[in-house]
Amino acid sequence: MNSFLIKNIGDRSISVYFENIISPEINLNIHEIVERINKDKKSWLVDVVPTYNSFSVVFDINLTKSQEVKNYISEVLISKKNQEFVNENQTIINIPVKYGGEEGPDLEDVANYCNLSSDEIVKIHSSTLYLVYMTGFSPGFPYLGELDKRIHCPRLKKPRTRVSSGSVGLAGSQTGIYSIDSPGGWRIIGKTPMKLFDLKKKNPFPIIPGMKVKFFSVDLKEYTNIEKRIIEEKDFLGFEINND
Amino acid sequence: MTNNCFKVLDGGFLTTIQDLGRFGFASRGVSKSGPSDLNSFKIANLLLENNINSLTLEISYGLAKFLILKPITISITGANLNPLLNDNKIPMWRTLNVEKNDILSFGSSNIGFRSYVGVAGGINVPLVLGSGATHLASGLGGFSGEKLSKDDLISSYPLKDKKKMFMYIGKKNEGSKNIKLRVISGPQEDLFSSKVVDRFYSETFKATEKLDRIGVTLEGSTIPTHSGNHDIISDFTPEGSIQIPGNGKPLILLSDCQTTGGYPKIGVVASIDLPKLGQIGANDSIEFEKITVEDAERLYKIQNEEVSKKNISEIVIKEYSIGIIDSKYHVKLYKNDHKDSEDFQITVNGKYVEIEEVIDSFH
Repeated sequence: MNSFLIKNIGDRSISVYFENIISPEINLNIHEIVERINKDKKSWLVDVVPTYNSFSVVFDINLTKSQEVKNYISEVLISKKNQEFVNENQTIINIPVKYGGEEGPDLEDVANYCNLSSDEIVKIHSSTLYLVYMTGFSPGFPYLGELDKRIHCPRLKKPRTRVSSGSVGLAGSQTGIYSIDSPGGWRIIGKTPMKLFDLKKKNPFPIIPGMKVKFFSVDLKEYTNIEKRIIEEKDFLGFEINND
Repeated sequence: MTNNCFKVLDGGFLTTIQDLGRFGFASRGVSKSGPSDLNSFKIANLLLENNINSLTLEISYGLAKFLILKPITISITGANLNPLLNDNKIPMWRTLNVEKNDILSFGSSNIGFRSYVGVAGGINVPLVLGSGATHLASGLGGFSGEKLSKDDLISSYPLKDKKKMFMYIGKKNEGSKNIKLRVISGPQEDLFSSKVVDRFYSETFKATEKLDRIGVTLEGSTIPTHSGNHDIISDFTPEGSIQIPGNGKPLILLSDCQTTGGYPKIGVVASIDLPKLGQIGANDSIEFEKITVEDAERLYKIQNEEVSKKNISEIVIKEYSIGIIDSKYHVKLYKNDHKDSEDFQITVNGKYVEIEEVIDSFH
């Protein structure tokens, strides 16, 4: 396994850092460890937060101390070395996206920046199987990778004060989906009718770290139909793609 | 029967409803939120014999005004934002009985930033992901996820018995113009040269007006990383994180902060001093002192003892009738039953009066 560093983040959380790069192997390893810690359900556990190349264990300072949590994490990491945890999270979620137009106001700018046509951007963006590295920024916002190098582009110089939920954005080597209406500086190439944070549903977070997602292009009519279905169904989890 | 207890006449600068916070969803990008000053929040509830997680009002900066809709017992803690009941000054850090049609209002202050108003039984709002705490950026919890504004009606859980009166006699977190924060070195301290780290811990910074429930930006000499690069691979950012963005100005994160961030954390404020963050106002001086995790844990235990039932003391009321020339005064003395405490308040004909000088104690 990769080398790691265990560090304090204040007096009520411990973080474990792996190699200082963004890589799917390291990140998948992290999700396996996080799953194991969640299963252990220690009485003092408040949260386990996976990020790109690290994870953090938040604990109740009234029930334990940093050193004890560090000891526990070390044990988990050693046992991980000796046996492969099984990543049970093999779900692939297919996400419908209406690219360009009002739903994707930056698609043409991105195409110009990348010296490609809008259609090529859509084709490249929707042909990659992405890993959900982490969620952050707002409830349910997934940070997805890896984005094809041909469509890397910088953030907007001036962030928008309001990006509507469902907007699909690009920023550097990342792509993601705005989960709620919020300010934002990512370049918006399309929009999905899927709700990434929906308190009306049994499971408010349909996409969680460690999952895989794939986008597919829909037209405005399909977008509207899917939107209706999402509102009606109790637990909507994306689509199967039939053509491959 | 309606349980509405307040009608908002003016939400003031920023008033939200908070409980201890929304725990267990950081991995889903959900901010903890909760009170910016945990200790004052806790005392507001302890005074009322409430559950410690009961919802209270958090009043930032002040200028809020409420109409009381039914007889209730309340408590006001935190910064002294000059609370008034029907235009008369009222004491803080104790329970108070207020009546229907009373008007509770707040002024402002240049010392401290946030007051808490506890309500016996606790404020009643729907829970979202297990908590009623308001998170403004994502519109969760509290009053439709928003700050309080004119005509909002706030209800509380019903209570049967009239409560005993209590006073808090422990250390108070009221804010200060000079704030010292004890800090545990952060996971990216090594991105700064030792000279810059030393400067960070010896410099006096100043809080700017860029402050809200998410964070406080400081001014002072800049704190550059040795490479000049201030982007890190995003990682977890708990409350109290001291981030150094590209402009070199420290940004301290408060309870509404995002769960992850991409700026290096030179340090993280220790739990004992997190409540102080909630009382930072613009232009306050801020200094940092590095401590070890072991010291932080030891000091937290001591503070936790202080901010507890141990320092909640029952109020004993003594009544006097005084006749001076042809006027009659009904004087009530509110004193707690703790022998070491000299805290007391006096009402004359039902109004609280300011005490200029104590000539003799009331033992």
